[in-house]
Amino acid sequence: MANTVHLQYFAILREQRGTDHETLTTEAADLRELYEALSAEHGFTLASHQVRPAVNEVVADWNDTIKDGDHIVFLPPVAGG
Amino acid sequence: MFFLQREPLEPATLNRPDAGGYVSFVGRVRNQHVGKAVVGLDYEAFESMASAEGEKVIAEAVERFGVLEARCVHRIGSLSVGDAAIVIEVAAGHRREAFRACEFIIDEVKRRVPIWKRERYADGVEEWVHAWSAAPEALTEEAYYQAQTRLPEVGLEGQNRLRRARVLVIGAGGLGCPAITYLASCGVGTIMVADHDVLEGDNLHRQPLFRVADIGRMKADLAAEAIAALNPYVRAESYTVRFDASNAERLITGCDLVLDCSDNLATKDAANAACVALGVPLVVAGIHRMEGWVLSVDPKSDGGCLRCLWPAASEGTKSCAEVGVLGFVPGVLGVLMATEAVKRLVAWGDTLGRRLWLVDLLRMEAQDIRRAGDPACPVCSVPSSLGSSEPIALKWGDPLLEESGWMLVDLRKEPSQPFPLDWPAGALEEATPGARYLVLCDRGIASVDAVRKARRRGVRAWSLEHGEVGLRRGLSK
Repeated sequence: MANTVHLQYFAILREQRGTDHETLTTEAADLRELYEALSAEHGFTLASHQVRPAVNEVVADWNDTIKDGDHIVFLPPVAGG
Repeated sequence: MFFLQREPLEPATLNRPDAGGYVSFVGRVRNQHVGKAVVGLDYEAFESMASAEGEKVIAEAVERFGVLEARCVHRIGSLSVGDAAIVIEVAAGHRREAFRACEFIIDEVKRRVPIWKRERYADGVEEWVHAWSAAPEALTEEAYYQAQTRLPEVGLEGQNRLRRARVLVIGAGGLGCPAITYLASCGVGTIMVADHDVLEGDNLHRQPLFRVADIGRMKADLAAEAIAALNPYVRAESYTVRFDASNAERLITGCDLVLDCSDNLATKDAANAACVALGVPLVVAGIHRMEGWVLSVDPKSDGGCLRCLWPAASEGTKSCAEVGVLGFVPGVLGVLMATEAVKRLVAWGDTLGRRLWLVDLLRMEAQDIRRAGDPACPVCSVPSSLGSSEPIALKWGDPLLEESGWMLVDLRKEPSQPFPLDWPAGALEEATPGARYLVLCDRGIASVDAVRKARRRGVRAWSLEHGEVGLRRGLSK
Protein backbone atom coordinates (compact mmCIF):
# COMPACT_ATOMS: atom_id res chain seq x y z
CA MET A 1 0.00 0.00 0.00
CA ALA A 2 1.31 3.44 -0.86
CA ASN A 3 1.75 5.98 1.94
CA THR A 4 2.53 9.65 1.74
CA VAL A 5 5.26 10.64 4.20
CA HIS A 6 7.12 13.82 5.10
CA LEU A 7 10.88 13.52 5.30
CA GLN A 8 13.27 15.95 6.90
CA TYR A 9 17.04 15.73 6.42
CA PHE A 10 19.88 16.90 8.61
CA ALA A 11 23.65 17.21 8.38
CA ILE A 12 25.38 14.83 5.96
CA LEU A 13 22.09 13.34 4.72
CA ARG A 14 20.75 16.82 3.95
CA GLU A 15 23.82 17.50 1.84
CA GLN A 16 23.70 14.16 0.08
CA ARG A 17 19.96 14.48 -0.60
CA GLY A 18 20.37 18.10 -1.74
CA THR A 19 17.33 19.32 0.18
CA ASP A 20 16.26 19.63 3.81
CA HIS A 21 12.79 18.22 3.36
CA GLU A 22 10.48 16.50 0.92
CA THR A 23 7.10 14.82 0.78
CA LEU A 24 6.87 11.59 -1.14
CA THR A 25 4.70 8.56 -1.71
CA THR A 26 6.29 5.25 -0.90
CA GLU A 27 5.46 1.56 -1.20
CA ALA A 28 8.10 0.64 1.39
CA ALA A 29 6.78 -1.70 4.08
CA ASP A 30 9.03 -0.51 6.86
CA LEU A 31 11.56 2.19 7.70
CA ARG A 32 14.54 0.08 6.69
CA GLU A 33 13.10 -0.50 3.25
CA LEU A 34 12.42 3.21 2.81
CA TYR A 35 15.95 4.14 3.87
CA GLU A 36 17.51 1.54 1.60
CA ALA A 37 15.47 2.83 -1.35
CA LEU A 38 16.43 6.46 -0.68
CA SER A 39 20.01 5.43 -0.10
CA ALA A 40 20.18 3.64 -3.47
CA GLU A 41 18.59 6.61 -5.21
CA HIS A 42 20.69 9.39 -3.65
CA GLY A 43 23.93 7.59 -2.78
CA PHE A 44 23.83 8.03 1.02
CA THR A 45 27.20 7.04 2.46
CA LEU A 46 25.84 6.04 5.88
CA ALA A 47 24.63 2.45 6.15
CA SER A 48 21.35 1.89 7.98
CA HIS A 49 23.12 0.53 11.07
CA GLN A 50 24.87 3.89 11.45
CA VAL A 51 21.60 5.81 11.31
CA ARG A 52 18.64 5.94 13.71
CA PRO A 53 15.14 6.44 12.37
CA ALA A 54 12.72 8.78 14.16
CA VAL A 55 9.01 8.97 13.45
CA ASN A 56 6.99 11.95 14.62
CA GLU A 57 9.96 13.03 16.74
CA VAL A 58 10.31 9.73 18.59
CA VAL A 59 13.17 7.31 17.95
CA ALA A 60 11.72 4.31 16.13
CA ASP A 61 12.70 0.79 15.18
CA TRP A 62 13.92 -0.05 11.68
CA ASN A 63 11.22 -2.72 11.42
CA ASP A 64 8.38 -0.30 12.25
CA THR A 65 5.80 -0.06 9.51
CA ILE A 66 5.16 3.21 7.73
CA LYS A 67 1.85 4.99 8.23
CA ASP A 68 0.29 7.57 5.97
CA GLY A 69 1.26 11.08 7.06
CA ASP A 70 4.28 10.03 9.15
CA HIS A 71 6.96 12.64 9.71
CA ILE A 72 10.18 10.70 9.27
CA VAL A 73 13.74 11.73 10.05
CA PHE A 74 16.81 9.55 9.59
CA LEU A 75 19.22 10.74 12.25
CA PRO A 76 22.92 10.54 11.35
CA PRO A 77 25.25 9.70 14.27
CA VAL A 78 24.96 12.65 16.65
CA ALA A 79 27.95 14.77 17.68
CA GLY A 80 26.81 17.40 20.13
CA GLY A 81 28.71 18.78 23.10
CA MET B 1 16.13 23.22 31.67
CA PHE B 2 17.68 22.58 28.26
CA PHE B 3 17.78 24.93 25.32
CA LEU B 4 19.54 25.67 22.05
CA GLN B 5 20.97 29.09 21.37
CA ARG B 6 22.34 30.83 18.29
CA GLU B 7 24.04 33.64 20.22
CA PRO B 8 27.34 33.22 22.13
CA LEU B 9 26.91 31.41 25.43
CA GLU B 10 27.48 33.08 28.77
CA PRO B 11 28.50 30.92 31.72
CA ALA B 12 25.57 32.00 33.86
CA THR B 13 25.59 31.05 37.52
CA LEU B 14 22.94 29.14 39.30
CA ASN B 15 22.86 30.37 42.83
CA ARG B 16 20.52 28.91 45.40
CA PRO B 17 20.61 29.17 49.15
CA ASP B 18 19.81 25.44 49.48
CA ALA B 19 22.70 24.30 47.23
CA GLY B 20 25.97 23.39 48.92
CA GLY B 21 27.55 22.05 45.73
CA TYR B 22 27.62 23.77 42.38
CA VAL B 23 29.35 22.30 39.31
CA SER B 24 29.57 23.84 35.87
CA PHE B 25 31.09 22.50 32.68
CA VAL B 26 31.98 24.44 29.54
CA GLY B 27 32.78 22.59 26.31
CA ARG B 28 34.77 24.71 23.84
CA VAL B 29 35.79 24.43 20.20
CA ARG B 30 39.28 22.92 20.03
CA ASN B 31 41.93 23.92 17.49
CA GLN B 32 42.56 20.35 16.33
CA HIS B 33 40.77 17.06 15.70
CA VAL B 34 42.75 13.84 15.25
CA GLY B 35 45.81 15.81 14.15
CA LYS B 36 44.03 18.15 11.73
CA ALA B 37 44.06 21.90 12.42
CA VAL B 38 40.49 23.12 13.05
CA VAL B 39 39.55 26.76 12.40
CA GLY B 40 35.89 26.54 13.34
CA LEU B 41 32.74 24.46 13.17
CA ASP B 42 29.02 24.53 12.55
CA TYR B 43 26.40 22.93 14.76
CA GLU B 44 23.09 21.90 13.28
CA ALA B 45 20.16 20.51 15.29
CA PHE B 46 16.81 18.85 14.75
CA GLU B 47 15.56 21.57 17.04
CA SER B 48 12.21 20.31 18.29
CA MET B 49 13.47 16.81 19.01
CA ALA B 50 16.78 18.08 20.40
CA SER B 51 14.95 20.30 22.89
CA ALA B 52 12.63 17.48 23.96
CA GLU B 53 15.47 14.95 24.30
CA GLY B 54 17.65 17.50 26.11
CA GLU B 55 14.86 18.17 28.62
CA LYS B 56 14.58 14.42 29.19
CA VAL B 57 18.31 14.20 29.92
CA ILE B 58 18.02 17.03 32.45
CA ALA B 59 14.97 15.44 34.10
CA GLU B 60 16.75 12.07 34.31
CA ALA B 61 19.83 13.69 35.85
CA VAL B 62 17.73 15.49 38.45
CA GLU B 63 15.82 12.35 39.33
CA ARG B 64 18.71 9.88 39.27
CA PHE B 65 21.23 11.93 41.22
CA GLY B 66 18.78 13.83 43.40
CA VAL B 67 20.20 17.25 42.50
CA LEU B 68 18.23 20.44 43.06
CA GLU B 69 18.49 21.96 39.61
CA ALA B 70 20.33 21.46 36.35
CA ARG B 71 20.52 23.46 33.16
CA CYS B 72 22.21 22.98 29.83
CA VAL B 73 22.54 25.36 26.90
CA HIS B 74 23.90 24.12 23.58
CA ARG B 75 25.11 26.51 20.92
CA ILE B 76 24.02 26.04 17.31
CA GLY B 77 25.26 27.83 14.20
CA SER B 78 28.78 28.92 13.33
CA LEU B 79 31.51 28.83 16.00
CA SER B 80 35.21 29.74 16.06
CA VAL B 81 38.06 28.11 18.00
CA GLY B 82 37.69 28.89 21.71
CA ASP B 83 33.93 29.57 21.56
CA ALA B 84 31.79 27.83 24.14
CA ALA B 85 29.72 25.08 22.50
CA ILE B 86 27.91 23.85 25.59
CA VAL B 87 27.42 25.10 29.14
CA ILE B 88 26.09 22.79 31.85
CA GLU B 89 25.31 23.86 35.39
CA VAL B 90 24.20 21.71 38.31
CA ALA B 91 23.21 22.82 41.79
CA ALA B 92 22.96 20.14 44.46
CA GLY B 93 22.92 19.63 48.19
CA HIS B 94 26.43 18.17 48.06
CA ARG B 95 29.33 18.15 45.61
CA ARG B 96 29.35 14.45 44.75
CA GLU B 97 25.93 14.31 43.12
CA ALA B 98 26.63 17.62 41.39
CA PHE B 99 29.77 16.19 39.71
CA ARG B 100 28.00 12.96 38.77
CA ALA B 101 24.96 14.71 37.34
CA CYS B 102 27.12 17.12 35.34
CA GLU B 103 29.12 14.27 33.80
CA PHE B 104 25.94 12.33 33.12
CA ILE B 105 24.40 15.30 31.29
CA ILE B 106 27.38 15.89 28.97
CA ASP B 107 27.68 12.15 28.20
CA GLU B 108 23.98 11.76 27.45
CA VAL B 109 23.75 14.97 25.40
CA LYS B 110 26.65 13.77 23.23
CA ARG B 111 25.07 10.36 22.87
CA ARG B 112 21.37 11.10 22.42
CA VAL B 113 20.52 14.64 21.45
CA PRO B 114 20.16 15.13 17.67
CA ILE B 115 22.85 17.73 17.11
CA TRP B 116 25.48 17.44 14.40
CA LYS B 117 28.87 19.09 13.96
CA ARG B 118 30.74 19.98 10.79
CA GLU B 119 34.36 20.92 11.32
CA ARG B 120 36.18 23.43 9.13
CA TYR B 121 39.86 22.61 8.76
CA ALA B 122 42.78 24.93 8.03
CA ASP B 123 43.28 23.31 4.60
CA GLY B 124 39.80 24.42 3.50
CA VAL B 125 38.17 20.99 3.87
CA GLU B 126 34.91 20.65 5.81
CA GLU B 127 33.70 17.40 7.29
CA TRP B 128 30.81 16.06 9.38
CA VAL B 129 32.15 14.57 12.57
CA HIS B 130 30.74 11.18 13.46
CA ALA B 131 32.51 10.55 16.72
CA TRP B 132 29.97 8.08 17.97
CA SER B 133 32.00 4.98 18.47
CA ALA B 134 35.53 3.98 19.30
CA ALA B 135 35.08 0.73 17.39
CA PRO B 136 37.14 -0.09 14.32
CA GLU B 137 35.15 0.44 11.16
CA ALA B 138 34.48 -3.24 10.52
CA LEU B 139 33.23 -3.86 14.05
CA THR B 140 29.72 -2.53 13.72
CA GLU B 141 27.19 -3.05 16.48
CA GLU B 142 25.50 -5.71 14.36
CA ALA B 143 28.80 -7.49 13.80
CA TYR B 144 29.64 -7.41 17.50
CA TYR B 145 26.50 -9.32 18.43
CA GLN B 146 25.97 -11.46 15.35
CA ALA B 147 26.83 -14.77 17.02
CA GLN B 148 24.21 -14.21 19.74
CA THR B 149 21.50 -12.54 17.65
CA ARG B 150 21.67 -15.65 15.45
CA LEU B 151 19.87 -17.42 18.30
CA PRO B 152 16.22 -16.88 17.34
CA GLU B 153 15.27 -16.45 21.01
CA VAL B 154 17.60 -13.46 21.23
CA GLY B 155 17.41 -12.01 17.73
CA LEU B 156 17.34 -8.29 17.07
CA GLU B 157 14.39 -7.80 19.40
CA GLY B 158 16.18 -9.39 22.34
CA GLN B 159 19.30 -7.41 21.53
CA ASN B 160 17.27 -4.20 21.57
CA ARG B 161 15.85 -5.12 24.97
CA LEU B 162 19.36 -5.59 26.27
CA ARG B 163 20.48 -2.30 24.75
CA ARG B 164 17.65 -0.41 26.46
CA ALA B 165 18.36 -2.01 29.84
CA ARG B 166 20.02 -0.32 32.78
CA VAL B 167 21.54 -2.65 35.36
CA LEU B 168 23.22 -1.84 38.67
CA VAL B 169 26.04 -4.13 39.82
CA ILE B 170 26.82 -3.79 43.52
CA GLY B 171 30.42 -4.84 44.12
CA ALA B 172 33.16 -5.31 41.52
CA GLY B 173 34.78 -8.28 43.24
CA GLY B 174 34.87 -12.04 42.78
CA LEU B 175 31.20 -12.24 41.75
CA GLY B 176 31.10 -8.82 40.12
CA CYS B 177 34.01 -9.30 37.70
CA PRO B 178 32.56 -12.26 35.79
CA ALA B 179 29.01 -10.89 36.01
CA ILE B 180 30.12 -7.51 34.63
CA THR B 181 32.16 -9.15 31.87
CA TYR B 182 29.16 -11.02 30.48
CA LEU B 183 26.64 -8.22 31.01
CA ALA B 184 28.94 -5.98 28.97
CA SER B 185 29.74 -8.47 26.26
CA CYS B 186 26.05 -9.43 25.87
CA GLY B 187 25.22 -5.75 25.29
CA VAL B 188 23.37 -4.56 28.42
CA GLY B 189 23.10 -0.90 27.38
CA THR B 190 23.97 0.82 30.65
CA ILE B 191 25.94 -0.87 33.41
CA MET B 192 26.31 0.97 36.69
CA VAL B 193 29.09 -0.31 38.94
CA ALA B 194 29.04 0.61 42.64
CA ASP B 195 32.14 -0.28 44.65
CA HIS B 196 33.95 1.76 47.30
CA ASP B 197 37.20 -0.22 47.46
CA VAL B 198 40.59 0.13 45.83
CA LEU B 199 42.13 -2.89 44.13
CA GLU B 200 44.49 -4.85 46.35
CA GLY B 201 47.03 -7.44 45.28
CA ASP B 202 45.20 -10.34 46.93
CA ASN B 203 42.03 -9.53 44.93
CA LEU B 204 43.59 -10.46 41.59
CA HIS B 205 43.29 -14.25 41.88
CA ARG B 206 39.48 -14.00 41.90
CA GLN B 207 38.87 -10.71 40.03
CA PRO B 208 40.09 -11.27 36.48
CA LEU B 209 38.77 -7.95 35.17
CA PHE B 210 41.85 -6.30 36.73
CA ARG B 211 45.61 -6.29 36.19
CA VAL B 212 48.65 -6.03 38.47
CA ALA B 213 49.30 -2.49 37.24
CA ASP B 214 45.81 -1.49 38.49
CA ILE B 215 46.60 -2.07 42.19
CA GLY B 216 45.66 0.94 44.27
CA ARG B 217 43.01 2.31 41.93
CA MET B 218 39.25 2.40 42.58
CA LYS B 219 37.64 -0.83 41.40
CA ALA B 220 34.45 0.88 40.21
CA ASP B 221 36.50 3.09 37.87
CA LEU B 222 38.63 0.14 36.70
CA ALA B 223 35.51 -1.91 35.98
CA ALA B 224 34.00 0.96 33.97
CA GLU B 225 37.20 1.20 31.91
CA ALA B 226 37.22 -2.56 31.35
CA ILE B 227 33.60 -2.44 30.15
CA ALA B 228 34.40 0.37 27.70
CA ALA B 229 37.39 -1.57 26.37
CA LEU B 230 35.37 -4.74 25.96
CA ASN B 231 32.32 -3.32 24.19
CA PRO B 232 32.11 0.13 22.56
CA TYR B 233 28.32 -0.20 22.28
CA VAL B 234 27.51 -0.17 25.99
CA ARG B 235 27.83 2.57 28.58
CA ALA B 236 29.47 2.17 31.95
CA GLU B 237 28.93 4.39 34.97
CA SER B 238 31.14 4.10 38.04
CA TYR B 239 29.97 4.95 41.55
CA THR B 240 32.77 4.88 44.10
CA VAL B 241 30.43 4.55 47.07
CA ARG B 242 29.60 1.82 49.54
CA PHE B 243 26.07 0.74 48.69
CA ASP B 244 23.78 1.13 51.69
CA ALA B 245 20.29 2.29 52.64
CA SER B 246 21.32 5.96 52.35
CA ASN B 247 22.13 5.83 48.62
CA ALA B 248 20.08 2.77 47.59
CA GLU B 249 17.13 4.72 46.23
CA ARG B 250 19.28 7.08 44.18
CA LEU B 251 21.27 4.26 42.64
CA ILE B 252 18.40 1.84 41.99
CA THR B 253 15.73 4.25 40.72
CA GLY B 254 15.53 3.86 36.96
CA CYS B 255 17.21 0.43 36.88
CA ASP B 256 15.62 -2.60 35.25
CA LEU B 257 17.58 -5.03 37.37
CA VAL B 258 20.09 -5.11 40.21
CA LEU B 259 22.87 -7.66 40.73
CA ASP B 260 24.13 -7.87 44.27
CA CYS B 261 27.72 -9.07 43.97
CA SER B 262 28.78 -7.82 47.40
CA ASP B 263 30.73 -9.98 49.83
CA ASN B 264 28.63 -9.36 52.92
CA LEU B 265 25.07 -9.97 54.01
CA ALA B 266 24.49 -6.48 55.40
CA THR B 267 24.83 -5.08 51.88
CA LYS B 268 22.69 -7.88 50.46
CA ASP B 269 20.00 -7.09 53.04
CA ALA B 270 20.06 -3.41 52.07
CA ALA B 271 19.87 -4.27 48.35
CA ASN B 272 17.02 -6.69 49.02
CA ALA B 273 14.97 -4.18 51.03
CA ALA B 274 15.49 -1.38 48.50
CA CYS B 275 14.67 -3.57 45.49
CA VAL B 276 11.47 -4.84 47.14
CA ALA B 277 10.41 -1.28 48.01
CA LEU B 278 11.19 0.06 44.54
CA GLY B 279 9.78 -2.97 42.68
CA VAL B 280 13.07 -3.72 40.88
CA PRO B 281 14.13 -7.37 40.42
CA LEU B 282 17.30 -8.44 42.20
CA VAL B 283 19.71 -11.25 41.39
CA VAL B 284 21.84 -12.16 44.37
CA ALA B 285 24.45 -14.81 45.07
CA GLY B 286 26.85 -15.84 47.79
CA ILE B 287 29.68 -18.31 48.25
CA HIS B 288 31.23 -20.30 51.05
CA ARG B 289 34.45 -22.22 50.38
CA MET B 290 33.60 -24.52 47.42
CA GLU B 291 29.85 -23.91 47.50
CA GLY B 292 27.61 -21.16 46.32
CA TRP B 293 23.98 -20.12 45.99
CA VAL B 294 22.10 -17.88 43.63
CA LEU B 295 18.53 -16.63 43.64
CA SER B 296 16.30 -14.02 42.07
CA VAL B 297 14.00 -11.73 44.00
CA ASP B 298 11.10 -10.58 41.90
CA PRO B 299 9.01 -8.05 43.84
CA LYS B 300 6.08 -8.66 41.50
CA SER B 301 5.88 -12.41 42.23
CA ASP B 302 5.08 -14.19 45.49
CA GLY B 303 8.38 -16.04 45.71
CA GLY B 304 9.45 -13.93 48.64
CA CYS B 305 12.71 -12.15 49.18
CA LEU B 306 16.15 -12.74 50.66
CA ARG B 307 14.91 -11.89 54.15
CA CYS B 308 12.22 -14.61 53.95
CA LEU B 309 14.99 -17.18 53.56
CA TRP B 310 17.47 -15.81 56.08
CA PRO B 311 15.65 -13.72 58.68
CA ALA B 312 18.76 -12.62 60.57
CA ALA B 313 21.19 -12.98 57.75
CA SER B 314 23.61 -10.19 58.52
CA GLU B 315 24.76 -11.61 61.84
CA GLY B 316 27.93 -13.58 62.31
CA THR B 317 28.96 -14.34 58.75
CA LYS B 318 32.44 -13.96 57.38
CA SER B 319 33.54 -12.72 53.97
CA CYS B 320 35.16 -15.14 51.55
CA ALA B 321 38.49 -13.33 51.93
CA GLU B 322 38.42 -14.26 55.62
CA VAL B 323 37.29 -17.87 55.12
CA GLY B 324 39.46 -18.57 52.08
CA VAL B 325 38.36 -18.98 48.49
CA LEU B 326 39.46 -20.27 45.10
CA GLY B 327 38.92 -17.71 42.36
CA PHE B 328 36.72 -19.82 40.11
CA VAL B 329 34.05 -20.37 42.78
CA PRO B 330 32.77 -16.77 42.67
CA GLY B 331 33.60 -17.03 38.94
CA VAL B 332 31.01 -19.77 38.41
CA LEU B 333 28.41 -18.00 40.55
CA GLY B 334 29.05 -14.61 38.92
CA VAL B 335 28.51 -16.13 35.49
CA LEU B 336 25.28 -17.72 36.76
CA MET B 337 24.15 -14.27 37.93
CA ALA B 338 24.79 -12.81 34.48
CA THR B 339 22.95 -15.78 32.96
CA GLU B 340 19.91 -15.11 35.13
CA ALA B 341 20.08 -11.36 34.44
CA VAL B 342 20.36 -11.62 30.66
CA LYS B 343 17.62 -14.27 30.44
CA ARG B 344 15.31 -12.04 32.45
CA LEU B 345 16.05 -9.00 30.30
CA VAL B 346 15.59 -10.93 27.06
CA ALA B 347 12.62 -12.87 28.53
CA TRP B 348 13.92 -16.28 27.49
CA GLY B 349 13.55 -19.55 29.37
CA ASP B 350 12.93 -20.32 33.00
CA THR B 351 14.38 -17.98 35.54
CA LEU B 352 15.05 -18.63 39.21
CA GLY B 353 11.69 -17.09 40.17
CA ARG B 354 10.82 -19.21 43.19
CA ARG B 355 13.94 -21.28 43.49
CA LEU B 356 17.18 -21.21 45.37
CA TRP B 357 19.98 -22.78 43.40
CA LEU B 358 22.78 -24.38 45.38
CA VAL B 359 26.02 -25.40 43.70
CA ASP B 360 28.63 -27.64 45.29
CA LEU B 361 31.81 -27.53 43.22
CA LEU B 362 33.56 -30.11 45.38
CA ARG B 363 30.97 -32.84 44.75
CA MET B 364 29.97 -31.32 41.41
CA GLU B 365 26.33 -31.24 42.40
CA ALA B 366 23.60 -28.68 42.02
CA GLN B 367 20.42 -28.56 44.04
CA ASP B 368 17.27 -26.72 43.17
CA ILE B 369 15.23 -25.76 46.22
CA ARG B 370 11.68 -24.45 45.98
CA ARG B 371 11.09 -21.42 48.09
CA ALA B 372 8.03 -19.38 48.96
CA GLY B 373 7.52 -16.00 50.54
CA ASP B 374 7.26 -15.82 54.32
CA PRO B 375 3.86 -14.26 55.12
CA ALA B 376 5.40 -12.66 58.20
CA CYS B 377 8.47 -11.29 56.42
CA PRO B 378 9.06 -7.73 57.61
CA VAL B 379 10.47 -6.73 54.21
CA CYS B 380 8.16 -8.12 51.55
CA SER B 381 4.95 -9.43 53.12
CA VAL B 382 1.63 -7.67 53.10
CA PRO B 383 -0.57 -9.42 55.67
CA SER B 384 -3.73 -7.37 55.71
CA SER B 385 -7.42 -7.28 55.14
CA LEU B 386 -6.71 -6.41 51.53
CA GLY B 387 -5.08 -9.74 50.72
CA SER B 388 -1.54 -10.19 49.53
CA SER B 389 -2.43 -9.93 45.86
CA GLU B 390 -3.56 -6.31 46.22
CA PRO B 391 -0.84 -4.08 44.79
CA ILE B 392 0.88 -1.80 47.29
CA ALA B 393 1.22 1.08 44.89
CA LEU B 394 -1.20 2.63 42.40
CA LYS B 395 -0.19 4.61 39.36
CA TRP B 396 -1.67 8.08 38.96
CA GLY B 397 -4.63 7.48 36.64
CA ASP B 398 -5.60 4.12 38.16
CA PRO B 399 -9.41 3.73 37.95
CA LEU B 400 -9.56 2.91 41.66
CA LEU B 401 -8.55 6.50 42.38
CA GLU B 402 -11.70 7.73 40.69
CA GLU B 403 -13.93 6.09 43.29
CA SER B 404 -15.22 7.95 46.31
CA GLY B 405 -14.13 7.78 49.93
CA TRP B 406 -10.43 8.60 49.52
CA MET B 407 -8.30 10.47 51.98
CA LEU B 408 -4.83 11.82 51.31
CA VAL B 409 -1.84 11.19 53.57
CA ASP B 410 0.81 13.62 52.38
CA LEU B 411 4.29 12.63 53.60
CA ARG B 412 6.21 14.87 51.21
CA LYS B 413 9.06 16.86 52.71
CA GLU B 414 9.25 19.53 50.01
CA PRO B 415 6.05 19.43 47.98
CA SER B 416 6.26 21.41 44.76
CA GLN B 417 3.27 19.93 42.95
CA PRO B 418 -0.10 20.61 44.59
CA PHE B 419 -2.27 17.51 44.89
CA PRO B 420 -4.89 18.10 42.17
CA LEU B 421 -7.91 16.47 43.83
CA ASP B 422 -10.05 17.89 46.59
CA TRP B 423 -9.60 15.02 49.06
CA PRO B 424 -9.67 15.40 52.83
CA ALA B 425 -6.34 14.99 54.58
CA GLY B 426 -6.02 11.88 56.73
CA ALA B 427 -3.53 10.24 59.06
CA LEU B 428 -2.78 6.52 59.04
CA GLU B 429 -2.38 6.50 62.82
CA GLU B 430 -6.02 7.60 63.26
CA ALA B 431 -7.52 5.76 60.30
CA THR B 432 -11.30 5.76 59.84
CA PRO B 433 -12.65 2.26 59.14
CA GLY B 434 -13.86 1.88 55.58
CA ALA B 435 -11.99 4.89 54.25
CA ARG B 436 -9.32 4.50 51.60
CA TYR B 437 -5.97 6.18 52.13
CA LEU B 438 -3.57 7.24 49.43
CA VAL B 439 -0.07 7.85 50.77
CA LEU B 440 2.01 10.34 48.82
CA CYS B 441 5.70 10.91 49.47
CA ASP B 442 8.52 12.42 47.44
CA ARG B 443 9.52 9.30 45.49
CA GLY B 444 7.21 6.51 46.53
CA ILE B 445 9.54 4.72 48.93
CA ALA B 446 8.66 6.01 52.40
CA SER B 447 5.02 5.63 51.38
CA VAL B 448 5.45 1.90 50.61
CA ASP B 449 6.81 1.35 54.10
CA ALA B 450 3.98 3.33 55.65
CA VAL B 451 1.39 1.41 53.63
CA ARG B 452 2.82 -1.96 54.68
CA LYS B 453 2.70 -1.00 58.35
CA ALA B 454 -0.81 0.44 58.04
CA ARG B 455 -2.13 -2.62 56.20
CA ARG B 456 -0.89 -4.87 58.99
CA ARG B 457 -3.24 -2.95 61.25
CA GLY B 458 -6.05 -3.47 58.75
CA VAL B 459 -5.99 0.02 57.25
CA ARG B 460 -6.95 0.17 53.59
CA ALA B 461 -3.99 2.13 52.28
CA TRP B 462 -2.14 2.40 48.98
CA SER B 463 1.03 4.18 47.98
CA LEU B 464 1.16 6.45 44.96
CA GLU B 465 3.78 4.91 42.66
CA HIS B 466 6.98 7.00 42.46
CA GLY B 467 5.40 9.59 44.80
CA GLU B 468 5.43 13.18 43.63
CA VAL B 469 7.65 12.25 40.67
CA GLY B 470 4.94 9.80 39.52
CA LEU B 471 2.22 12.37 40.16
CA ARG B 472 3.98 14.98 38.06
CA ARG B 473 4.61 12.47 35.28
CA GLY B 474 1.00 11.29 35.36
CA LEU B 475 -0.34 14.84 35.21
CA SER B 476 1.84 15.74 32.23
CA LYS B 477 0.45 12.85 30.19
